[in-house]
Amino acid sequence: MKDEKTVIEDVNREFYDFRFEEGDDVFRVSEGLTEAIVSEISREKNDPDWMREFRLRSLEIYKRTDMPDWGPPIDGLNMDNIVTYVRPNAGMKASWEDVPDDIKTTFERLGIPEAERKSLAGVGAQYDSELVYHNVKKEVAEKGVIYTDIESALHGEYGEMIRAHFMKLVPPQDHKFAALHGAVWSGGSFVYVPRGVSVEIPLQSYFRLNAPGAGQFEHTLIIVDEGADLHFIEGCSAPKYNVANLHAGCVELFVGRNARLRYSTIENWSKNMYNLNTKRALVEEGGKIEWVSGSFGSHTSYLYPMSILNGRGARSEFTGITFAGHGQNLDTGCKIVHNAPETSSYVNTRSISKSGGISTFRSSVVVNKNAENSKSSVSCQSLMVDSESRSDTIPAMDIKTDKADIGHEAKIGRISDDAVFYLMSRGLSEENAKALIVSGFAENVSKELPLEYAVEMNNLIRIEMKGAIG
Amino acid sequence: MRKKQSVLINEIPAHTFGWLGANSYATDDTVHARAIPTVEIEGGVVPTEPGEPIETGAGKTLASVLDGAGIPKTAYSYISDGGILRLGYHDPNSDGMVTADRVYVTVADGLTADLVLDIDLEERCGTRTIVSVEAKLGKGSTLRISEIEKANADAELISDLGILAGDGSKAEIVKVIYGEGKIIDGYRVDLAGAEAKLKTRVGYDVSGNARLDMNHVSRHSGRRTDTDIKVYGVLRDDSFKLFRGTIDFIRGCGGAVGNETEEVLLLSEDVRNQTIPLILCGEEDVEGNHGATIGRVSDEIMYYLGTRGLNEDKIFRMMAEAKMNAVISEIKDDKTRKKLEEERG
Repeated sequence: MKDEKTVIEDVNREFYDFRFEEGDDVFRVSEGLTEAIVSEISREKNDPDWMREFRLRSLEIYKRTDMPDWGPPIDGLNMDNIVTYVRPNAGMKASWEDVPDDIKTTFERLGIPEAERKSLAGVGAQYDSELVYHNVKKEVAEKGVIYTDIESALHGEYGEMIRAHFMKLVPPQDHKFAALHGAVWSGGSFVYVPRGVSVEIPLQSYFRLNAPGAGQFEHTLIIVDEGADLHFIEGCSAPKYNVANLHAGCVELFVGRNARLRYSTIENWSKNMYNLNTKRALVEEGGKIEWVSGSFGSHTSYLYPMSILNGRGARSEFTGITFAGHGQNLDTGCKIVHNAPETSSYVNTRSISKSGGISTFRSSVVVNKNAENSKSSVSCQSLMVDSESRSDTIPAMDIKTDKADIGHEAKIGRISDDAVFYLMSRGLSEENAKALIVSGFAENVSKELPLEYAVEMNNLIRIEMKGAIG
Repeated sequence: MRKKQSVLINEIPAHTFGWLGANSYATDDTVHARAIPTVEIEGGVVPTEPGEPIETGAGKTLASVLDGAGIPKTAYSYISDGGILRLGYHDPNSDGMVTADRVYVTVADGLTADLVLDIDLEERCGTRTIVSVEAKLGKGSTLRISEIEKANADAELISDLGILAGDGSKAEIVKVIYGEGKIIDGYRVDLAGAEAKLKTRVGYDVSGNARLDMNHVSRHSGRRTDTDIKVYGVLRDDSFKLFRGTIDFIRGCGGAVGNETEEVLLLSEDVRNQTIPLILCGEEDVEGNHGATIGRVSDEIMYYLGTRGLNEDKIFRMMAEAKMNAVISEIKDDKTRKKLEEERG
């Protein structure tokens, strides 16, 4: 036993790493990104004219926009090899019984139908580029809550609402992968919570990318009207392939006056995935956005949910955990813009790096001149488990008014010998002491996750401490 | 006539979001002549030959510009304990003139040495003065650097420093920065030797249309090395400040500790403050902390001092002076400290 070292296991992905062979009846466009491919996607999706034009404009912006000159390398991502649209052999269903067996089995293994029965107000399930299942509980629908796939909304009575909001918060000019999203987006959910309605149990969308070498570009648009309240959960996973996959989704959240939206994500893409996702919330007077973000998967991530606090007294809370293991370069964090008086933001993150993994916390807090009497507090902590790994913190603050109160603190280190000694003096073994410390390090964040996701967290992080320290 | 080339200096070791425009400072490669300093020497400081180049905070780009302009390095060696080298850059350039100087100092093993840099630029349209210093610290030596950086309106001052710290050596840097001009300040300290230490105290008080751009890097490559960075600042009027502070733990620097804090007082609604405090970590056995507080005087202090009969203006002035005086009091060179105390009243 003395020879054994304390071991913190990589995130266990066997649970997610299963796949079904693609059938002959699956439709997929050619690899690469051309005007013809974008037009083909638009035709296949029966886009209205404005959307077809929007896609083509986005493609032009994509072509003339440079790759980011900061952040992890993405040289391994070659758009010429990515299939941007794969339609499964199923239309969207409102009953799991009607979903084809292989796809249904996939989601059953991920526990989605069971979670829906037990603890969710509605579920959307996307398989490759299209939604295959969408349902919302009757009592929630009766309150006037709209939860549907975004294409149905686009073609139905909410078409104008979609047009008024689609990529208005994240315009294609924002960055190269926002432009890519604008050109080839497919799937995703639309939620509208009417004024004063409180949705007491969460809605959930789950995104599964099954096809090798494919991209997933779902668009999530949520509008929480004045005084309303919603908790929305997003989950994602994929089996591992030896070719690069790409996720460049887009999430746009509109939080009305005195409304509250909690947006929770457990991201567990496979280690061949480039996760270049964009999320943004616009918060009006007295409203609140709460981000809860767990980043465990993908080969490379660029993920910085942004809160624009646009009304007096608007608030943002960001709670995040990132676990970077072997072969992973996870660049995560958040962005906040204080754009009205008396706004406040609170950021609390934890990251763990091991086995050569690279974890970077990157943030920006901008306080505009009109945001008098605003407050911001950022706290990030990183744990290095070995010296093969890296952990960097790159926060930025840009303050344009003298009437603000801004605080930032960051800590980086290893498991404290003093803490281990203290716990051992209380009767714990060294391995149990270390296990407790690492669990406690992550718990500040994981306790913010909904209960049903605690189960998934347990599947994601297996921290096994064994033996004595050599 | 030779065309000016744009160059980027003070580049942050790890880039942040491009849209913040904070990854480096853009200037041009013009240098017309060497800046000739006043030189005062006390104790055992002798001329010598410069050693191997040492990377600085402004970076290799600036070194290339100075090489290209043929600016020589003037080298000094501290050969006995207590040596003091004072360099003053006060020569007013004519409008549009760009001058530069390079200095290389070596501190022998076990010695304690002082280097004083007094850069005080007059108000001249479009002038620029660049002072680049490289320092090599021998085993167990201490180099105390006291620096005044003052640039009046329309002048640009570039102060650049690189230190290579050997085993058990200590670099202590105190900088007092003020004025209404452009002040570009960079240092890079490589704590290469075991148990090498860096302590810095920086105080800035800028006003008018001042632009202050700082890039401070402490690179831990030696074992059990230690960094202690404290920056205090006051921004007034329309001034702008960007502080990039990096603690970089290189793999193999086991037992290293790095602490960095910045406190900024904003005294005008038209100021702009950017703060980017980085910790880069490739080693498990380290401890790194950074913190920043930015804003006004707290309500509690305002209330307390108000009950003592002070108005808002007096309170702000008092708090600003207190921050700067705390840094000035850290200057070990009596002559420099007294000059600052007199000049700042």
